[in-house]
Amino acid sequence: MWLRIVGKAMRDRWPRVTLALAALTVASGLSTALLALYADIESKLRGQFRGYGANLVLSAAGGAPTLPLSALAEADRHGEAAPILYSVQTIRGEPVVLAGTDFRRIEPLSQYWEVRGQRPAAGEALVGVAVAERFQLRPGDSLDLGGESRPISGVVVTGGPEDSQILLPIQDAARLSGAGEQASLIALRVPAVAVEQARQRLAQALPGVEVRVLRAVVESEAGAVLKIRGTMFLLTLLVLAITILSVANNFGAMVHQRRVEIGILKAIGGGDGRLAGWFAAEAAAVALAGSLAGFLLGTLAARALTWQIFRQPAGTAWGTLPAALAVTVAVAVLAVVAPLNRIRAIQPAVILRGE
Amino acid sequence: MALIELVEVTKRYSDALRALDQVSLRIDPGEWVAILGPSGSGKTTLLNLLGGLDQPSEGQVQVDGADLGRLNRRQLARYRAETVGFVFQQFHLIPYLTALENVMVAQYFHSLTDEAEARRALEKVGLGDRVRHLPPQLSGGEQQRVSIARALINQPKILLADEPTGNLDAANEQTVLEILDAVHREGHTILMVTHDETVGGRADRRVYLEHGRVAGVVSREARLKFFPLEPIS
Amino acid sequence: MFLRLLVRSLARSPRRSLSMAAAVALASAITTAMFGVLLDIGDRVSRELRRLGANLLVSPQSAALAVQIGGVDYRPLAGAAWIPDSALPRLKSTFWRNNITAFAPFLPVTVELGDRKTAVVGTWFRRQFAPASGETLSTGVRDLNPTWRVAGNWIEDRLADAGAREILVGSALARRAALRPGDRLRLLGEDFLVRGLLDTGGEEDDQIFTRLETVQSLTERPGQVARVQVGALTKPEDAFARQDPKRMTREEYDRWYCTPYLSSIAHQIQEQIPAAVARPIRRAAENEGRILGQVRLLMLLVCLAAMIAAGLMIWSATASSVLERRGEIALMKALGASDGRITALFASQAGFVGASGGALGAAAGAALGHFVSLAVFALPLDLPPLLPVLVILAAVAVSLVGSAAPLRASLSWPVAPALKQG
Repeated sequence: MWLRIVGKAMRDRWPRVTLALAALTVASGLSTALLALYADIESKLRGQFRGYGANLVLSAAGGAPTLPLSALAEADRHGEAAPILYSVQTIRGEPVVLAGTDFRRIEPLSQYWEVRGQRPAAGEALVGVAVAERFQLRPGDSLDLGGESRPISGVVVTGGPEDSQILLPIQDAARLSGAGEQASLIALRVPAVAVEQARQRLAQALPGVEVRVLRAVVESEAGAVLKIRGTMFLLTLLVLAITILSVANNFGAMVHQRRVEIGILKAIGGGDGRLAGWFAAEAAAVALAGSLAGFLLGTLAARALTWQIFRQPAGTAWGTLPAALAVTVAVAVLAVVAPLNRIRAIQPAVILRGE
Repeated sequence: MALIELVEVTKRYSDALRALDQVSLRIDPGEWVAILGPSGSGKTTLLNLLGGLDQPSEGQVQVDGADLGRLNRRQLARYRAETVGFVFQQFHLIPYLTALENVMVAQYFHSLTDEAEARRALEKVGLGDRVRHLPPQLSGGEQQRVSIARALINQPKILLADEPTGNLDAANEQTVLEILDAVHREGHTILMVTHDETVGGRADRRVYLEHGRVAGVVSREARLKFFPLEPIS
Repeated sequence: MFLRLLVRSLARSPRRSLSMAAAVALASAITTAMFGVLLDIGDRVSRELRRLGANLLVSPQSAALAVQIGGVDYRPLAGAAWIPDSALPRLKSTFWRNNITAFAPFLPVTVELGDRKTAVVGTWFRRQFAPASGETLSTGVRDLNPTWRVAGNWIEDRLADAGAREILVGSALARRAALRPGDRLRLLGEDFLVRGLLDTGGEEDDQIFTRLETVQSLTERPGQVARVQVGALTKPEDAFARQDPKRMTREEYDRWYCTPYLSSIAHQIQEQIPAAVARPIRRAAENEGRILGQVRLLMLLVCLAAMIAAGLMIWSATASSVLERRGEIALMKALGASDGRITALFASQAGFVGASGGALGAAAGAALGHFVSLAVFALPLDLPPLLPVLVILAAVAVSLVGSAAPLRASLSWPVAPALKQG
């Protein structure tokens, strides 16, 4: 019987039920999307900060000019490492800094470089823009280095020391300077949260090596990520609170709209518990439908937003699933519980008097 | 043994406003009592008290031996389901349920629904062919008849009627009053609030309220005794 | 009479009016708070990212090719190009002086310390100066690099100490040379007092820092500066900014000039200091630009989503409210009210509730946004007064639109059945 009544009641008021459903779906969707974004934002941001390149530098302890390349193996265990070997060579009578590196390794640490042309293969060279201007060099030209003629694969612009350097594969640089299997320094990028741990472990594992943390990079990343996360967190909480309030308001209003009906049912013998159960069932049906729909829409929206902004797929949706579901269920439960008090409070005598 | 007993009942809405003032009343089983008086005299308040929809500020309302003031919310709901049946001036049917379903709701609150029994109740009030109609599709008189069927379905001890013919035209009024007559003859106790002397005249006893107090009581026999020229219904 | 009807109708069911106003208020609060934070976030995050250090390098136009490893210059000093230090205050005279948050000049000289070449760098630590505008400003490496730490004391940069011989020694160098604050070191023929040890984690840890004037006088290069590092708050470069300014139309040029793109700021610095060229330090500029762009876009999209959600919440509440009052509409029609009158009444009510709910919500949203800003950035919210006004107008508009369709439907229904339903 009660199923019949609840069903008929909903059908009778279908425009209002639809509106309530829409409002709940929207509220739930927004909360879910925000939660999903918040859960993902740190990893996405940290991924973006990779672009700053190295956050640790290994050099020889005690002021020695170079450290052995074998230190790379240890550095590799913590993150992305690349060796750099400096020397000064004479080009057309002038001293120029030569920087030898492993271009495959330095690729992830140098995403901010602007390379006009290509990064060099074996036997080629990459020249900084100031070098190119000084010696009137363009990609495709040849450069005489230590008796060998090297084709120039490209020109690099960074706004930093590379602009005044000639970059070539580290084996070639080592041969030209007679340095052997050495590097002036090893640039290393570890995940920002593990910087201190990496520094300690490397210092322990490599006693002849000095490990420096590039604090400017680490601290500015930490500060920015913290603040952005903090903002997202508070805004998410804010929206959650507001949507919960609005759902409660909405469903409470729905009960209020039907107070005459509730008054009648009470007058003919309906107990508080039973009536509450009916209205709760109706609210629960709408709430559950709205919450699930909202959850789906919100998750989709979050994925779309993440792709649009970061050009990376949204990570670990499964991680947010319990939290998002918990929120939507909470909203649904609240939607059901909120009206119950009002139902209790309805006095048939007052209502039926025609107020 | 009185079925209904009001003992010095007062209902106050504020310091100044007293809807009922020290009202005492006894109603025996099987009586049809009409409560009359101008608007604001406390008639509806009296009915609400008897229906367990309201509590007195002072005094006792005793129905079938039970003091309504002592009952908790759950017990009052049971009381309304089992002991009384309500008929309202505005009918107050659930607009999205059929006539049959409106009667079945009252059954549902009492115990179990019984569609056949509900159908029979509607046939008794002459609506056997209208059971599937929705209230907006029924005339005022028909709605009130459904309301009566609903009120009686659980065999309540008392039928409480608040201006049952107030919204009806003359023809429908007659029909409804005839049904009430039949109900009375079957032995039900009826307490009816009305402002209409003619309607009130159908009852066994008329109680007049004014400013919340009982201003006078007239029994039917007395009326018949003293006004023999009035038509006998 | 109309006003009376309006008030009575609203007061008739205060709960319903309050409920609708509450819905509008909640929606307006979300919108105001989020847009308030959105408008600020670019600037706030930008300042956070600026802790990295300089994003612009100003060098002399005719500079020879640098021969530097680890900050140590291997070229002879003679004939090196320079920028006049008298030009420095002009950095704060550009159109974008408020976006230039800090700058510091550098004049390095290479000395032999033990068996190694070491750079001794003259700079401003925190120097007060007066640009053309007249107020006194201060800037220097301490402002440009807030992540630098000193064990001991910084060098006070007052002009009165022009003759003081004090240095900050990089922490790695200090370890190797066993130097501590209070020790003395002989450089460039003079005795210097070690005031503190500088710890940055970068190549500065191998260098020695002192006041600009000290290096200028000891290397006989008065008034000269080798380069200037500048930190500026910028708007991320987009396709528009990447055009060649020489090829822009007059309008495009004005727009580019008046937008704080890094290229535009660099251009204006070059206008102020003609002998210099300003180039972006890509490691800072590129990443900052990209990350800021993403953060802004994220906030914008979230705001739009919130706005749509808010709009739907208001719509739902208003439409519901009208639907609920079908009986009342029927009654008014039965009493002879024209459609126009009824519409006017309901529209006024929707407008009133929308405006009051919107105002309340905008105020609450501003307070909430303020709280978020304080909690995260320790800065008050910089709310443009136009925002709450727009939110209230939007709330009114959506309330009106939301009631339009159900109202029109209700007006076209036959009166009698609606009256019966009550």
